[in-house]
Amino acid sequence: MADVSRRVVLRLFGASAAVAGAEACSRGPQEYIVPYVNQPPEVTPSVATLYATAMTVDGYGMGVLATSHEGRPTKLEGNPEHPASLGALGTIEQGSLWGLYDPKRAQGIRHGENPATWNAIADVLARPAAGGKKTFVLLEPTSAPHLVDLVRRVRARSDVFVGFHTPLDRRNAWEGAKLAFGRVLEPRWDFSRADVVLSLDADFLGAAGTPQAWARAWASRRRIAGPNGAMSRLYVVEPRMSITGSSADERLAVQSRQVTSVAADVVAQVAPRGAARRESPWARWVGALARDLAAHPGASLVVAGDGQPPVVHAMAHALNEALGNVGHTVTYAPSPIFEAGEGSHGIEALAAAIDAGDIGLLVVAGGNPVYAAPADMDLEKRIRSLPASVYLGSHENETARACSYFVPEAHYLESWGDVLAFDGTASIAQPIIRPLVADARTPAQMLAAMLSRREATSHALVEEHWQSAPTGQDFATFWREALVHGIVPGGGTPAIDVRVSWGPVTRAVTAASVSPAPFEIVYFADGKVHGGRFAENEWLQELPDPVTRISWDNAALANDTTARSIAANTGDVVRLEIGGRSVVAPLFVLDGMADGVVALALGYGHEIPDRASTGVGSNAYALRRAKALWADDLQPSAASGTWELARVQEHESMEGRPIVLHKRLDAYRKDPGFARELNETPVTLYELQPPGEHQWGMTIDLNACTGCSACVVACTVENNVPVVGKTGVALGRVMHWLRIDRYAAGEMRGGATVVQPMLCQHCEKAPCEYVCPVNATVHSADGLNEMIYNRCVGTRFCSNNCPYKVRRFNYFQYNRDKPASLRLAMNPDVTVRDRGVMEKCTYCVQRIRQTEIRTRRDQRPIRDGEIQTACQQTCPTGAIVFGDIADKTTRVSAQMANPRVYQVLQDLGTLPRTRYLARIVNPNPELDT
Amino acid sequence: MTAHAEIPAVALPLLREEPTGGEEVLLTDESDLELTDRLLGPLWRQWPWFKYALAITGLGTLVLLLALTYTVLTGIGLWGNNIPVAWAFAIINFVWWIGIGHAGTFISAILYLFEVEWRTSINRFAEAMTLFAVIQAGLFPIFHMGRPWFAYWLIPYPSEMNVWPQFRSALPWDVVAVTTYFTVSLLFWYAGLLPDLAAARDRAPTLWRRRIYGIFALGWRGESWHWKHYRITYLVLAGIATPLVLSVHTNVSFDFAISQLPGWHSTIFPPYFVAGAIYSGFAMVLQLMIPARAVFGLQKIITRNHLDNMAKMLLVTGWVVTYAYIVEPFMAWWGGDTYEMYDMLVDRPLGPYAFVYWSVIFCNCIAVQSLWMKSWRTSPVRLWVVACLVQLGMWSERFMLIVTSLHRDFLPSSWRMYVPSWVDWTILGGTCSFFLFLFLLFLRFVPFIPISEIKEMRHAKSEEHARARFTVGRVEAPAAEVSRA
Repeated sequence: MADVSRRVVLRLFGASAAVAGAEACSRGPQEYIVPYVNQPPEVTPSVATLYATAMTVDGYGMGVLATSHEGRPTKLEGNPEHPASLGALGTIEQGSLWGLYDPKRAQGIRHGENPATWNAIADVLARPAAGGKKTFVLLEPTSAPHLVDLVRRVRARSDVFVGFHTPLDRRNAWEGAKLAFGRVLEPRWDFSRADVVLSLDADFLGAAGTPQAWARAWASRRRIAGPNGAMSRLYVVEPRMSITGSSADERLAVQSRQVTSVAADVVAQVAPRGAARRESPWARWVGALARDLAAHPGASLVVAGDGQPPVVHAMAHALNEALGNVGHTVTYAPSPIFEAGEGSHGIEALAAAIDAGDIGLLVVAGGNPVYAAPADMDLEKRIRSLPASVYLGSHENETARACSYFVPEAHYLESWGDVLAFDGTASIAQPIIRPLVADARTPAQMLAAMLSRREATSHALVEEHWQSAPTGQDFATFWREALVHGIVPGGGTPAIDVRVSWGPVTRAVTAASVSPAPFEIVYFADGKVHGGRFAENEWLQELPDPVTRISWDNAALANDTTARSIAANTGDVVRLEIGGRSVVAPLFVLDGMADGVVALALGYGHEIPDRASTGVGSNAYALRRAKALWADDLQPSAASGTWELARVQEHESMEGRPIVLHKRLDAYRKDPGFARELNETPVTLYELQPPGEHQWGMTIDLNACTGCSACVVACTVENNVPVVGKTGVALGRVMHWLRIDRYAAGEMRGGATVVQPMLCQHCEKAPCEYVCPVNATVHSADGLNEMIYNRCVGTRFCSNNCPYKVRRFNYFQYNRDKPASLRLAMNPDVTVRDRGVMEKCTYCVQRIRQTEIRTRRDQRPIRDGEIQTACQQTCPTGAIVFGDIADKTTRVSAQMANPRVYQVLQDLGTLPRTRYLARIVNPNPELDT
Repeated sequence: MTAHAEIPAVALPLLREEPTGGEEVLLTDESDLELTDRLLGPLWRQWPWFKYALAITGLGTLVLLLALTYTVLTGIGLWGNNIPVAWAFAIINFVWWIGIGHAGTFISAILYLFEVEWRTSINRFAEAMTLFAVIQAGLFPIFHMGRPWFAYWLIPYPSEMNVWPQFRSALPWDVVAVTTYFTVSLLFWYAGLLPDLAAARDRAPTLWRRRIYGIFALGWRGESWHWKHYRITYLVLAGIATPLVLSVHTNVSFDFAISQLPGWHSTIFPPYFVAGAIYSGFAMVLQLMIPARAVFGLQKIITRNHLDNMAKMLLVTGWVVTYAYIVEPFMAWWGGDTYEMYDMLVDRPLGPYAFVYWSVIFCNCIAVQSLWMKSWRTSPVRLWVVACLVQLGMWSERFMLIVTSLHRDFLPSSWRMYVPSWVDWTILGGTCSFFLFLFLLFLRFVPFIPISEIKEMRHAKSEEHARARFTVGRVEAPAAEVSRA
């Protein structure tokens, strides 16, 4: 060894390190993904790149722009070019980023308890099932063109059935269309042209997964510019309190089963056509509604929700036709969902086939049917009776336990796909990152393996489809354009002209009965776990429910009368029983529920240990029966014990304080300056504004805000807001910088509630600043109330002195002990806060500074609207406007001049930079007395 | 002269009272030597109960240290605080402890300047109590911080980055107020101790004790120029300490009064806090003195006259705080501020923390009225019970001020209850232990009755007696002048 010189040793070290480094690189096949707009020559560190992609929710596509920092997606925003998004994203779409980095994601392929290889799975899939039996493939309803191709090809194998199941299916809507039109069609609503809207239990403003475009269109008729402006009127008939219901001008709470008879009464009044109706308790309400609808022919709109039976949908279609709305506020087109409305291949078919002993292999690709199938189907027992079953899923969940083989499912941000939007517009979904789980596969790859193409990548399968599709231009250009824009050019499927066949509608109107049940359970998918798909998502679990403000649980929601007849109160445990099956759930008394109705959100009550979802809420699927998927008779009873609900707001009354200003439209017209007093600048000896060139400010139009909480998720993801868990929330330590306050407004009809996004008001005379002993919160030259985390020692005096209580304190070390994968989700432009420091809304200062840097480099002024805060960016209704209030030409300055603008707690003289536009409600004067 | 005195039985003296002496502040005609030996006696004597008491309080102190360590390592999330109640037990305890300290300074400085003779027997005691209470108080502002290791940022030191505290906040004022208070109190206490430490040095039975007391006595030999400088120093320190009695709790009250929170934002706070502080301080002196007086058989030194006078102080300060309790809701109503009216007129008396409010009213306003009766003022047992109630009431008052103001402020959406955690209770109990631990050490090793001052008072008294006897029949002229006037 003596002849080896130091230089030789070092050279060898260097060479081996280089080789080792090269070896460690990922060596998957080369695939090219294309950034959204201007691709830099190479990735510039610290400069984020946007990629357009698409997320699939219940089979429909939602356009997404993913922010990628050095190759890792950190934030999802809506794709402005996508018709369902128009730039906005809901709670679950934004929160879906968690699923990519979820430390509890399934990591490997297994057979029983043992690790297995993809080849072993592919062998099973490619072979005919043992004993000459059939293979049943269970997918979630899909519109993905490449997947539909594969389904068709797999079906060509004579031993394969392909079925579809989701617990949140739209069969009611499709059947209703069949009833009205004789074929499966979906209505496309245009709320922007509707003066009067009637929702029959349709939560079109709040239900997760619905096109954000609907809320945007509806709000465009609500943002009343001045006392002479017009606004639409929203009637809602529903059994439970929904987001749409709380935005209603007139609202009728009836049991789910009674919605049919309300709808029938409306039809009988608007378009009798010989239908006979008896007198009903809501005759006066329906009479006023019918006259209002009839007074707006061609400018009204009746929408029905998926939880209502087909006849209600048929009646809605009939009403729209009778009111002349078709072609104006509603058009019809075929569903983008493959084989929509064909009930022959659902989960019932699977159960029947298993019972008949026909099935030798079950392939479940996606979803969690063992958990989510109707309880009376006992799918778990049936699946366990099969000789072999393969499950492709994101987590080791209930279905994974019942199946013999398990394959981890690829997240949509790490695999290729395609999907159609509600209007048929196609998107190609490109991955943003290499799979974090090496063995992850897509449903298409499972089907390809059944066609003996086990090596096919998701990229190859998608590209293959689009290469054969008629795109009308050369493929490379098409592909690049489609990826750049996030939509396939050519738009959606065109509307078709159809007529309602009145026979079945009139028969249904005559038959509809009004009698309520003693107790009725209503199931619904909330904007948090969406029927269970996001049950492992801590961002979404921690998100307070917009209506109840409960985080980390669902609850049996009932009004005071119902609660009293069950002999229970908020927090008491109640037993809910249907047909011998029962679950226990915490009761929560909620105003606005129909008498006798108990509503329970789907997707909670998982029992897999050591998960985000463990022990959170109660499992509504354990009660659900196949013949009553959305509402059912219920036997509730008080059970022993209490259940602590973690609520972020415990007090709903405004105590007569001017917090959320609201007024009726007619009163507003008489007194248009009613808010002015609350916008006066108190006398002060100090300079009103700091000396900076720009002065940032924000307005929030309470008339447009529905309380959907998409902004809360946007803020959480953008600003690295930590999750504190149920105990943290219950102790009052939730970290959300932006919250949606909700107050009862009993004197208002309709939803009788008002909502108010509450975030740091960036007071000109900020009470927090002068009490900080160490100058850790100070005012910037451009009017921001800034937090200097490094300087904060954590006395919390600022929080005590903040009248809006928007400051949040790091009571524990919430960030440093995070699993490594979750750290990848962090936005590198925002400081990750340490224990013991205060934090709060910054007006997304990182976005302001980035834009300043960019415009300074380009030597141009900042354009109005160029800086969007995260909450503003995702707000589907455009309620939040941010900009420079020193420049009087900006949108925010125009909003500040609106007569409805006011300051919350104006009398304290804090001079908040965030101002609100008072809410105007538009009840029907005919219903006044 | 050494450890020869019998060990006093603990229980008996509690019940054994001198039949006379209602008007006297000293009931002994012992010689200087006898007095010195009597008052230094506890230092040399064996106390069989001492090690048990020290072990119990030492254990409590250890628990305090553990709880604080746990908090620093984990985060103050271990406490019950939340948003909106971001200040709770720590600040309640801080205000409570620092208030307790006030009586010491009041007795030793203000009563000294006013030449109130009953202060003499109890001032050392009260000063020690001040020091130990301020030590407890000082723990809380540091450990309640999110990042206590940066507590020094509140001190205006010349940082190389030119960063200073933010002086508009009351918290840096607090740092100055409390550290000044502690420093002055310590100097005052130590200066007063010097002659007695020298006496202890001179009378100590063993060499080591003589050496140790000798070091602390700083070479005091009792020469006349010693006494001259000593007198001036003591008077100057008393002069410095006197405004501190008013300023420290005024400053503490600014922690609340400068905010704009209903229930805190009030101009009555400074006098209200000072009175409350002296109130709880006198209660604490009584709580400690009554048992000590019984245990060490000091009924002739700390007479019923002392008890009577201190009880009267309780009554006076009790009425000051009662006045504040009346004025606060009145001003809320008179001012017409919605938020303040809700806090004062609805939430405090009727809200979820109403039991705290009514305990405050009972303990601080009602129970103390029993002291109108002389029999209650001079009965050690009854007075001790009243003092305990006052102490409880004053702690509850701070809970009421801090928690009920915070838990329901402007926006009802953020209203929330506060419940202390077990760590909160442990730390409160721990500081009580630590306080008693320090106090026990003080009783054991320091002459807790000011010997030189007692002897001086005895001389003054006997001179008075002598002069009175001597001047009988010779003072008609001035007396006549007085009667003419």
